[in-house]
Amino acid sequence: MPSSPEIKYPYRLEQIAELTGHEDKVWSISWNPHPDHPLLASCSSDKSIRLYAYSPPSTPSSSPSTGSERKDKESEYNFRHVSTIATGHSKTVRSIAWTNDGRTLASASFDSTVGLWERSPSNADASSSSSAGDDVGGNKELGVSGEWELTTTLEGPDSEIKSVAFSTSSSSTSPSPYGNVGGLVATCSRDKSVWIWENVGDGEWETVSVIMGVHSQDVKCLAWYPGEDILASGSYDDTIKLYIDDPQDDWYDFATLEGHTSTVWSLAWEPLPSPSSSTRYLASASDDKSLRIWARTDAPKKGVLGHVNSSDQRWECVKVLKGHERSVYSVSWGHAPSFAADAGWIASTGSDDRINIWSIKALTNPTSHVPLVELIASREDAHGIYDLNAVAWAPHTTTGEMEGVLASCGDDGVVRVWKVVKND
Amino acid sequence: MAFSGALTITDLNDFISPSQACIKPVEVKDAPPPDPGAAATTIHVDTLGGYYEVGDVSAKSPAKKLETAQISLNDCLACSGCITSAESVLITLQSHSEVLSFLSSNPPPSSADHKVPVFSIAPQSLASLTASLSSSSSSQVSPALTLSRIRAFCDQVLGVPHVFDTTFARHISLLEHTREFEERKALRDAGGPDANLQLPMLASACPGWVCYAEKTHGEMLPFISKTKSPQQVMGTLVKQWLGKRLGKTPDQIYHVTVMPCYDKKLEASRQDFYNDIYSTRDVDCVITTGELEILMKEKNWDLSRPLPAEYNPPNGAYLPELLSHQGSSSGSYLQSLISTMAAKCENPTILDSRFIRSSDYEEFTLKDAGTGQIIFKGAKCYGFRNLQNLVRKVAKDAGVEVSRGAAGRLALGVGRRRAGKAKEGESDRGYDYVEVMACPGGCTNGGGQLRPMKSIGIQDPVPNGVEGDKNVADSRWGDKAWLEKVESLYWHDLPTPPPSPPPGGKHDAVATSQHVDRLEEANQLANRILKDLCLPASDSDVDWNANLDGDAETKRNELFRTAYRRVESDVVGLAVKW
Repeated sequence: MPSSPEIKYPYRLEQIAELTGHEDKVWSISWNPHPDHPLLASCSSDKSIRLYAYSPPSTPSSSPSTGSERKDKESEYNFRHVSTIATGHSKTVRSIAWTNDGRTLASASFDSTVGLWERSPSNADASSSSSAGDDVGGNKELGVSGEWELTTTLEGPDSEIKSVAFSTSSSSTSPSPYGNVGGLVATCSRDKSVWIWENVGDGEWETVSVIMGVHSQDVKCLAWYPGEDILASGSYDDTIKLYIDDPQDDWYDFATLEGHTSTVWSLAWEPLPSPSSSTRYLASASDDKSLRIWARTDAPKKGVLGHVNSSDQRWECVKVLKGHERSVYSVSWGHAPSFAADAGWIASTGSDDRINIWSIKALTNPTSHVPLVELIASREDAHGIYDLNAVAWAPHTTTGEMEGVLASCGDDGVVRVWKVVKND
Repeated sequence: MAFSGALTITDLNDFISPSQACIKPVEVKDAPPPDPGAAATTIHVDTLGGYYEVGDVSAKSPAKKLETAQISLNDCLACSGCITSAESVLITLQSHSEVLSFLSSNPPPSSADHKVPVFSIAPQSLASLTASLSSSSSSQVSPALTLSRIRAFCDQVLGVPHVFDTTFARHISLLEHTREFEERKALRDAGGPDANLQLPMLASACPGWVCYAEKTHGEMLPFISKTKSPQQVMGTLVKQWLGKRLGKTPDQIYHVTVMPCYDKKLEASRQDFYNDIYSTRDVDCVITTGELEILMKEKNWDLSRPLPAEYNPPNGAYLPELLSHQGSSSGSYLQSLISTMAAKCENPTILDSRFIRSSDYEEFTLKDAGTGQIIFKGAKCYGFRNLQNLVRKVAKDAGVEVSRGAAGRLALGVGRRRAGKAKEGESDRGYDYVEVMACPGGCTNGGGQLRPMKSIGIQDPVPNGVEGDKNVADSRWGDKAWLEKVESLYWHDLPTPPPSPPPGGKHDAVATSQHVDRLEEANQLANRILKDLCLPASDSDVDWNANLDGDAETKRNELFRTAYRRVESDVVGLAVKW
């Protein structure tokens, strides 16, 4: 990469793990969101999914560590490969997603199917009684070990599936075997459609909606609004669409966000709980080398997008972030660590092999929707000369064990885990 | 142009996928074997648009003119992923321009090459046109009125003497459909091979559904009813029965149908509906409701203008028209079977219904009021998302595997099925019949129907004066009200049937005697037609419900039934490394 004059950012990225093993490009990574299952999953063109367990440090780093402690940090998190799922997909596995309870993993493939995976019953039963907080052996190991088996295949879309995502709304909180009844999962594919499925129990999923004729091109990415059954999608047609269910009728698109001048590759909603007093932001990453932040700017209500008949909504791009020299393939929005007085941190990466970290400052002016964003860290050549396909922040917990930690994956077939540390 | 959702998602793909080749073979005459190691050729286009393959300078052969590949609508139907969904490619052969072009080049009746034009209009199209009239005219409108004005238009402006609606053809279709159901039920009850593939019988009238099943769910094909759709029964009636009465052979008739959707154009061009002997299709051209409206506008015909008092309707051939069949506005297939099964039961019956997820997916259970036994279980299932769930359910109940066409199957593991859940009862009994339609809302909401009018006077529930996505919510509320209007006009002329038959009692108690008379008249004509076409030499009458013997029965199947075939994609795409 071309060398630019040395810019001193307030933070830098320190690699804390290098996870090899895939035999081809790694397209995506996904952290299991549940504290009982500290797992990082990765998926690849080699049609497999690799699962890595880690041990969150028992006490969060109250002070950001410096480079000399790097060796200790690596062993501190103890990333280790625990399982490989030879999915049986006949083509690339492009995207993976976990349910909120951490028990089900979805694999979305170019073979136009999605596999839903769970650990075999004996392992699952044993670990369900484990308590979060043990950090050596015993129950924690049970939370991550075991064989994964296919419980359901979602079929229907006619071409390559690009993304899969589970809703985290409260409709999916009644636990049962094979996931939560009422939970929704969405898939999008090259046939321009977005499919929504509902868990109806006993490992069965029904098609709730097939949204067609909305995007005019390949749909690349999906993101569920945190805690609600509201969906966003990004497409090769340069737009972002937002969808909601009309209980009398069907799912429909209630807003179109236009502004990008090329494909929208990735979306990330500002996560809960949100310190923003006025609105919930959506971040998008595009082939046009920029990231954009969007907000609802008409009648904002904290955490609520509005009623079904939402024709009075106005969504606008409130910020354009330039910090990449080529296509931006992935954006992830995480909580800021406790040592940073920011509202949130955004990670982005793409074809320029660079990982950027942006901080969002808490809004001081409640009537303005424009966030204050600053580039606080940048890592060149994060995977050498190879394109990076995805970045993802580690799950947020109230005790903050994994704060400042993110994973990246790239065309070199490697998954790297980083920690953002303060520059002195 | 908007094909149904089921066709859109499978057939039309704007991407030129490198892994999919057009299956239409181009004959290559005397192609010289390629030289190994020969330089790559380039293709030049000359000023006239001809394509030439030009090799390198040292090549022995000069620039070779390349043949243009021709793709017809028939080929597109069979293809699993064609070059482009460009509208011009798919519908050039069937449009209102084509109709006008035919009419203007049709030799006069005195000539031997003259073709008798016939128009057949679907009742959903009539309802749609009537709805557009109702907003602009203050007087009472009805499908009957609309039909009479269209008849006048065809006669006076286009020179088309014969205009029908397709309700009589639907009547015949329903008769044959019921007969087929009873055959299949008997086969299923008798056990034996393929008994599990007899029921549920699935409606065959929707080409969007049929094409989708042929392409991606071949395992559903045995379940789909083999009875022809009303459009195709009309094709048979017009070209064969009517033709004989007019003293014309099938190729001397030009049959145009007006339909609520574009999918019907594909149905009409199926090879099964091509008459090899006379080299003519049963339906020559399908135009949509919207295209008929354009046709009338182009000819400056104002459909809202009443006909002059002294106007004499043309003396065209007669078929019963504006018949109503209790049930759905998509053809009442399910209802006709429910009525038949109820009539056969000795005791009174009770009909229960419940919605699954939406009004487009409704289950019906017919029970014997005396014993409580379930006589019949059926469903109405409209719209692509419900089709998905239906296909899964039917496959599971019948014990067949759901196939995925060109996509790969997961090799590892089979989905975990419900272990030990063997309870009998209502919820687990499979369906006997499902009325499947590709469009949510059914045929009245077809892709070729007229769009809601702006100034229709429907109360706008959305507050005015805001920008943004107002149009989205507006159009949705407007669409709903419009659709209700079209639906109510569809049932206009009839003793308004309830959406589902009333619980208890026999169903014909609801119909007025006039309604019953007209259906009886239709039955009798149907029997006569059957006799004319299958047993012309016989002296005795025939009854539709009875089997004919030998050749006559074969002839009946040829005329009123069809077949389906899986579309195999020879391009699996696994060779492409993604």
